[in-house]
Amino acid sequence: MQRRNFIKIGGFIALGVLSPSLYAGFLEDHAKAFTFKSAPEAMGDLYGQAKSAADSKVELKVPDIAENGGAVPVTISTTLPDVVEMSLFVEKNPYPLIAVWQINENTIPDFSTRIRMGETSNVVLVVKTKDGTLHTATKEVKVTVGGCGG
Amino acid sequence: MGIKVIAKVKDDVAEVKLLIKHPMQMVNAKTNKTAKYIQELLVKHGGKTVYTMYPSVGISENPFIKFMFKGAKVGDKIDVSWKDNTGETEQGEFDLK
Repeated sequence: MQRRNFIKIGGFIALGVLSPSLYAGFLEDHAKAFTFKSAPEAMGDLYGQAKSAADSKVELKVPDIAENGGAVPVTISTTLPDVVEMSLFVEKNPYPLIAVWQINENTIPDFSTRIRMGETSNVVLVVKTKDGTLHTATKEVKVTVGGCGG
Repeated sequence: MGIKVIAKVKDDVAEVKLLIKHPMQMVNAKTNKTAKYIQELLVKHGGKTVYTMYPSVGISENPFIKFMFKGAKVGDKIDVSWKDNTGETEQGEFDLK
């Protein structure tokens, strides 16, 4: 029994040490998150019951009005320390989880891209820090012509 | 397909702009098209991963990405690679200017 416990503890320690290289397994663990049709379900798959709260150190830059929902410019950044992951959601898209970014040692957590929006919706940025807490920013984008018909 | 890169270094920070030619195709019942989208996008610099992104069809066609990383010098190389949900991959090496 004691020996078994020792092995268990050893396993956890090994997992902790190896975790950066286990990032390669993200899709094996979380591919399902991209298939959920509601943002809370997708967030639950990624983060379980972790606590989240709006945080002024999380910045989400999106236009107030997007004429073309097919390519809405987005910039996401944060001044929080110890950021491990960022994820972006469009609440009313058929598949709300847009993308997940993992933050490596030399990565600056400041990214831009273009996203598809099917209709007017809240856009939610989630930043996960090393202590496991979630920090969010939310903004509504009004979409004139939706971009999910292709 | 194709990857275009503009990467500039200022102090020790590289600013990288990527433009990837890819349809990021959603399932479309009308045209019978199946989904084809980039699932994993990685950029490496000197053996270290400096950008890790898991996109979905929520990213626009011909994805545009901008990011920054530390520890860069002019003349260094970055390795950009992606893999899509059909197993197709593309990889390229680019100079930091």
